[in-house]
Amino acid sequence: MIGQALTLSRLRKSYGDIVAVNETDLEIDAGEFVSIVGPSGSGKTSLLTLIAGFEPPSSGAIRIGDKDITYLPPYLRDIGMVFQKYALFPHLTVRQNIAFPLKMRRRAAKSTIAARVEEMLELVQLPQHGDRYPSQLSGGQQQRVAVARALVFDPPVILMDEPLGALDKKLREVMQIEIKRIQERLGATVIYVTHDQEEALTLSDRVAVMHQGSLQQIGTPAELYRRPSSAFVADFIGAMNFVPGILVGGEPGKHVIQVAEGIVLKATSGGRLAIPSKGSAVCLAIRPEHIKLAPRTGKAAGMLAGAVEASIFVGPTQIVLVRPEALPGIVLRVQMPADQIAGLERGALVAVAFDEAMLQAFPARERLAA
Amino acid sequence: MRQPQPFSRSLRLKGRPRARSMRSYAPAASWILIAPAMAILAIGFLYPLLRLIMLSLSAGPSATYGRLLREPLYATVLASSVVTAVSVTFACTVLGYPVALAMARLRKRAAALTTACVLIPLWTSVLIRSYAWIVLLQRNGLINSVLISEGLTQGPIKLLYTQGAVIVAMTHVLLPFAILPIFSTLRAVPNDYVRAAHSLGAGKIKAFFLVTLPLSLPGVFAGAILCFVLALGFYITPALVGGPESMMMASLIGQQTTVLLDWPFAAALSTVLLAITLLIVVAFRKSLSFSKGLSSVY
Repeated sequence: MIGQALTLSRLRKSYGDIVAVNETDLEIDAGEFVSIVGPSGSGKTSLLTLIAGFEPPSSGAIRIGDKDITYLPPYLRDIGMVFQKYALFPHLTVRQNIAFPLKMRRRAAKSTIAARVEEMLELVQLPQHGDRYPSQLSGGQQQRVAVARALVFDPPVILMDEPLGALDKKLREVMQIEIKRIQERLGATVIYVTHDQEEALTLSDRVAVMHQGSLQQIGTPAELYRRPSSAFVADFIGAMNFVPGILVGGEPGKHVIQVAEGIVLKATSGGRLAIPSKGSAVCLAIRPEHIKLAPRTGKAAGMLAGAVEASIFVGPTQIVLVRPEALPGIVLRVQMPADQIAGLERGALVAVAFDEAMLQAFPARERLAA
Repeated sequence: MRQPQPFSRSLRLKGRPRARSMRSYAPAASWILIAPAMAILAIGFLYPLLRLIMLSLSAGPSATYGRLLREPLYATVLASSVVTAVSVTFACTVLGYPVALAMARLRKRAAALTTACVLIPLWTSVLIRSYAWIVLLQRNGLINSVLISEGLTQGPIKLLYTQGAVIVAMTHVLLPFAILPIFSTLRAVPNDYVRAAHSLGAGKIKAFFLVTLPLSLPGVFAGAILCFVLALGFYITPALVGGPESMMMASLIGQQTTVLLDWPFAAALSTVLLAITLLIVVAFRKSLSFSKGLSSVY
């Protein structure tokens, strides 16, 4: 049956001393689209390999619905998989490729299989291409066939390993919409691995961020963007500015942080980790759209003063890079509406104001680890 | 529908980026550039071949080609050569495939060891390997003495100087020529194909027969053709371990050139052997390209 829940409990994989996947717990609901993102080497492909069953885990369990599949061989798992390079069988036609999983199962009669294959060709909008060989199709068409082949046997869970990695940007955007359309129509449970965080945010109900073999955070795209649980997630999802500072006061959840001589900011706690104590080093994170700039003439106490280093046109908004005088080595990335940039050309002197409600503090060591 | 593309290309499309020459030349310049290679081919290959054919006709066609047709001995030798070559090719392919598969699937060190086991005999002289078979197969050789001491036979069996001995020894000599092309195509089959087959519900055996084997067929055919062509003209091994009734074409040609000094007739025999080799190779490829399912492979 298509679209079932997937549960990973304390799943772990190590090769000798190298831990590829740290004890991971993950619950994915039936019909949910979950992306796993992370930099290369973060363990996301290893996690997918374990779910697909190409390698056994060192410990932990995998369940689909109520069924434990931890040690089931891949061909008995009924998991549909789309590979990064599609892995369409080059010696079989498109039709034969799509029929392959049905023939393996011997559930249906020949005529049923043929009808089902036509149905899938229709779904991925390739009804005329059934008799071609994969090498006669474009990258995007091969990708559609790979999706059709992974879906045709109504798998409870579908895994996609960077399926759009080999396509160019324009085609990738078209295919994203296509995959989302098919997934929603069929109610399929999809686990989608990508290193492209933008793609993950576009497609997913929830996004899981992996780093160094561990699951850092899982949440809706908005949650990850607004309330990252660690400095790593804050940095990985969307653009983020980081400013180091020292905790000088405040109460739990509301901190007072000194970032430079005479400049003190208020910030909320970022994530789950409590900031230890007064005097400890922290790191402040703020999104480019939560910084305001104003032209200045002189310099006042308590004001973060800087100079515009560059102003970059990106369409509806403008990216302004500012180098604050009091924070050596830091360049702030500020995003503002294109109609508010008067007087902010290169070299202009500006006053920098943070939207303190959006300022989040993380323990400083965490930033270093990221 | 477009003509299916050769398989090797479709494989490459998905793997590494295709290497392509950065330059292109005008047709006239291309001809000038390939002229030296063409000249070498013409002088070293085409000219001797022409001379061979002319030599075979120098004593009059009826004295050479006519004799070939009139005397049944030659047809018998030719038929026995073809049968031997086909048997050896079959044995090499069937025995070589599992070795190639093991080489392709084993981990680094084990694969290197297996490769060495395949290559070292290849680098050893054919003469030595053929004599080794004489030692094993002769009347008081290793195999006969084991059979007698175990009481399996009363006296020694005739093993040497038989058709069987020729096939066994030639298979041994030609096995690497089957293994290496199969190995190289198996290595080029991306692991993702096998994984994809598994994830789509094919068990290990089905995945092998439906995916790995068809994708390695170009190597199987290359190896088989190589073995067949080499086997058909094989000289040393059949001459050493074969008897008079298992005489091969090459031995016959050798006899004509060195003992009987009938060069025109030897040239005619060579020409016929060449023509038959070409004919069988072409027929083999044609029959494959017509068989369903392999059409995208060739």
